[in-house]
Amino acid sequence: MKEGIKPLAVILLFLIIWQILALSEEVSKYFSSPYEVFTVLLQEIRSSEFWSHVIFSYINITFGYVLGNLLGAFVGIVLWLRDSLGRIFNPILFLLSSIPIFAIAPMSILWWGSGDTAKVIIVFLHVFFVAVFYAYRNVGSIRDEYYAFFKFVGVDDLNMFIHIIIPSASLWFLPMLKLTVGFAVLGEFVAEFIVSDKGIGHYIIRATGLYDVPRVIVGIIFLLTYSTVVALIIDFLHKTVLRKYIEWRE
Amino acid sequence: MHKTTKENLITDEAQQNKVLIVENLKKTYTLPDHRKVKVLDGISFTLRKGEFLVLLGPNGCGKSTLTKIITGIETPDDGKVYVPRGTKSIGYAPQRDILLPWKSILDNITFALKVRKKEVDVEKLKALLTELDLGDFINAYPYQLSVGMRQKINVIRAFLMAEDWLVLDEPFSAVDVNMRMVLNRFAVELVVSTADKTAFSSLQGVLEEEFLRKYYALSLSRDLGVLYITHSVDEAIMVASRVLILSPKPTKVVEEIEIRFEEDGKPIYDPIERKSHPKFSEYFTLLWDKVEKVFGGKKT
Repeated sequence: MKEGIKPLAVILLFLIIWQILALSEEVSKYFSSPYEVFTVLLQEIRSSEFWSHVIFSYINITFGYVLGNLLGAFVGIVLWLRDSLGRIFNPILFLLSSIPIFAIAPMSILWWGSGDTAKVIIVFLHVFFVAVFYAYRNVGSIRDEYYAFFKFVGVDDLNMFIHIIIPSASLWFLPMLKLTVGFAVLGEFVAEFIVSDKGIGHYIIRATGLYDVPRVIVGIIFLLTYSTVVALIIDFLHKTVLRKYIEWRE
Repeated sequence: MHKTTKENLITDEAQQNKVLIVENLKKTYTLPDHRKVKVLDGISFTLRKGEFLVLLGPNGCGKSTLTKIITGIETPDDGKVYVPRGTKSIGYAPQRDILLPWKSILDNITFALKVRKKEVDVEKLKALLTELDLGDFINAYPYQLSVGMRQKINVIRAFLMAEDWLVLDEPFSAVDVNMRMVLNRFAVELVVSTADKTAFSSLQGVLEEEFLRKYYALSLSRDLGVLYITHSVDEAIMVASRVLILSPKPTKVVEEIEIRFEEDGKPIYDPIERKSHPKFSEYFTLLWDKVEKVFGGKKT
C-alpha cells in the first residue's frame, strides 16, 4: 500500500494546482475545475441515463477484451508450437496489426453494422493482434531448453500444454492482460466515435460538441476507471497466484 | 528422432543392442553476426553397455552439443547416432539443471518418470532423497534450493529415468565434494551393479547397507552404459572405464585411454578406493601429459 501513496499524493497536488489555476476565468472556461467536475460527477452517478452509457461501453469492452486475449493467446501459442506456421504468419499478422484501427473503423459500419456486435469486433481486433504477438513472443520466455528437454523425456503436445505451457503462461498471461486493457478501452472509444447513440465514447463526443468540459472529463474518468479496476485485479492475482514460485525467473 | 540400426552397421554388438554408436558427427553454429563456428568436426566413438565412458575436454569444446545430439535434442549437420533397436530410455542430466519452477522437487522427479511410464514408489523415492540430504526439500520448489542441490535433483532424475543409457553432462560442477563422491559412486554403481554385484561390497562400510537396498529397489537391475562428461582429470580417473580426450573445438577425439584398477585380480570401481590406489598417480601423469598438450594447444 505504501507504494500507492506517492502517486496519489502527486494526483492530489495536481488537483490542488488545477483548482487554484481555475480561479482564473480564462482557465476554467477551457479546463473546468476539479470542483466543477466533482459536482457534475455526483450529479451524473445519480442519473440512470448516464449509467446506461457506462454499462453499454463496459459490456462491449469486456467481451472484446476477454475474447481477444483468449483467442490471441491461443493463436500465439499455436504459432509458437508449430514454428513453421509461426514463420509464415508472424509477418502477415504484423502487417495486419499495424493497420490503424481508425482506418478500418469507418468501414466496419459496412461490414458489421452499427450495433453492439460491431463495437465488440473492433475491441476484439484491437486486443487480438497485440495478444497474438505477446503470446508468441513470451511462450518462449521459459527457456527453449525446457521444451527441448521435456520433448526428449517424452512429453506429448497435450501434456506439454497442461504441465509446461499453461503454468509458464501465468508468468506472461497476466502482464498481457494488463497491457491489452488499454487497447480494449481505446477500441471501444474509436468504435463509438465512428457511430453510436450510446456508450461513454458517445457521451464524451456529445459533451465535446457542447463544449461541456466537466462532462468530457467525467467520461474520461469512467474510461480510466475500467482499466484501473482491471489492472488492480490483475495485480492482486499476480501477487496471490504467482507468489508460490514467483522467484523462479532467473 | 533417433536412427535405429541400419544395414551399414550390422556389427554383432549392434545386433545385440549392446552398443550406441556416434558416427562422424559434424555441427557448425552460426553466430548472430553470421560468423560460423565449427563445433564438432567428424567425431566418432562407441559406447558399450556396462561401460563408463568419460569424455574429457576443455571448456567450450562442444561437449554439451555432443550430448544434445546424442539425446536427440539437437540435430547434427552431418553424421549419425545409432541407438540400438529396442532402446527403452536414455537418462540425461543436462549441464544446466532443468526443473519446472511450478512443481515441487518430488513432483519434478515423478513427472518425468510418469511420462516415461515408469512406476513410481513415492515412499522409496522420499527415502532416497532423504538419504541424499534432500529430505527437508521434498516439497520445496526449485527456486528455494541452491544450485548444487538442483544439480543433485537433476542427476537423480536422470538416474531414475535411465534404463539403457545414461548421459551426464558435467553433472556435479556445483555439488560439494562429499556429495559429489557419493553421486559419482552412484553413477559407477549403476554400471557395475549388473555386471559385477560384488564390486561394491567394499562400499558398504561407507554407505549404509539400507541405503544401497533402497537405491537398488529404485534402480532395479539395469543394463546400462554411461556417458560422462567432465573437464576434471581427477574425476575422470575415479569413475571411468575408458577416457576419451577431446580437442578444443572443432572437437575430435585425440586420445583413448583404458582405465583399469585392480587389487588381487579383482577390478576396483569405487572412486575413493581408486583415488588412494598407487596407480592413480600413474594414470594422472599419463592423462595430464596428454591433456596439457591437447588443451594447451588452445592457448598458444
